[in-house]
Amino acid sequence: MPDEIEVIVPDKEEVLDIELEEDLLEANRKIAEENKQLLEKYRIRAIDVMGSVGSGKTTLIERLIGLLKDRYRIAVFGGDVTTTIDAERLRKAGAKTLQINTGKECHLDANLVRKALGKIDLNDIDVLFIENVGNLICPAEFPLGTDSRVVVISVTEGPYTPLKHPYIFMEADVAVINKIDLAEAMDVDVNELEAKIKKVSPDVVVVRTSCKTGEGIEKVAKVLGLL
Amino acid sequence: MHEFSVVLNLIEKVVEEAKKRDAKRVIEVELDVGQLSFLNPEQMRFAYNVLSKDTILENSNLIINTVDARVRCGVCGFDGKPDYADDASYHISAPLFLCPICGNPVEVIEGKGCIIKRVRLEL
Ligand SMILES: [Zn+2]
Repeated sequence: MPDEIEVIVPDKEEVLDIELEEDLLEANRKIAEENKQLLEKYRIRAIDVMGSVGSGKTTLIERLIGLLKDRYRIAVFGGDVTTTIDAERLRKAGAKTLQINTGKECHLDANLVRKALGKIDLNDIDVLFIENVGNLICPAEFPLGTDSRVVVISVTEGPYTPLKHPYIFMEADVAVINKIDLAEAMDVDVNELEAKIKKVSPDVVVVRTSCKTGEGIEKVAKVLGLL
Repeated sequence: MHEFSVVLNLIEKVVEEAKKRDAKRVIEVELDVGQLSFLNPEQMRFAYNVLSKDTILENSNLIINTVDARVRCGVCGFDGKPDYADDASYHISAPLFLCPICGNPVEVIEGKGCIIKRVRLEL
């Protein structure tokens, strides 16, 4: 037997630095790309509808369903925590609806949409609207894998929304200025609002609508390539 | 705010790295947060403290470096910081994505990411 056994133990406080260079926002982008490929495989046109609470996202989708339901089989994913009522409205308008529970989250992410896509028969759908959570900051950062992204604002929000939240307008393909029927009463200059949107995001297509009267709804469908 | 989901993602990644190396605990995490990621550092810290409880990251130190926005113009070749639109009536300063020199739309080169730079582990 050796009289002494040498045991090598690592220093108690041994420290290791790992360099990672890993983008935390990249994970969502990858899943979004997979969603996009899945939707393309089934030839589904998907539209992410973003906008603050009360801007009229649900009413816009409801109007679009009314306009397009004879032409396409339509489904809606609802990401708003409070919109089971909205889902019911959209079902009545003629679409299949699926509620996505975001918990306490402020936006939908690509992974939640991927899970939802697994719950419906993709052969049964031509057009998918995804109603994002009512928020103008977070959804911009989290693409879902849709063909188009629409941001809905209403004249009742006042003229500063585009300057306050430029990023969502940059990320959007279409900006809808809703509730133009109230512009005069609210003393909002719609031309000025449109100019502000164009200033932060020159390439976005701006459409003015009144979901109340139906004005502009056809144009939204057209710029989305659905008419 | 989306700080919570980003931090949740961060913690998952770091736990994974720590497990791979049989670490006893995480001492420090260093992040590069882009100005245009619109992630608020205070809210990130708050989320980190809440979400790291009962994980290997508990009581670790979070370092957040802010990365300035950098844009490039494809028309005139401008490369630098974007212009900001100040709106005194709203106390905001929003980045404009138009070239400060020629006014054409610019491409964002830096400042959009939220990157884990370094993780310090105790083995
Ligand atoms: Zn330029």
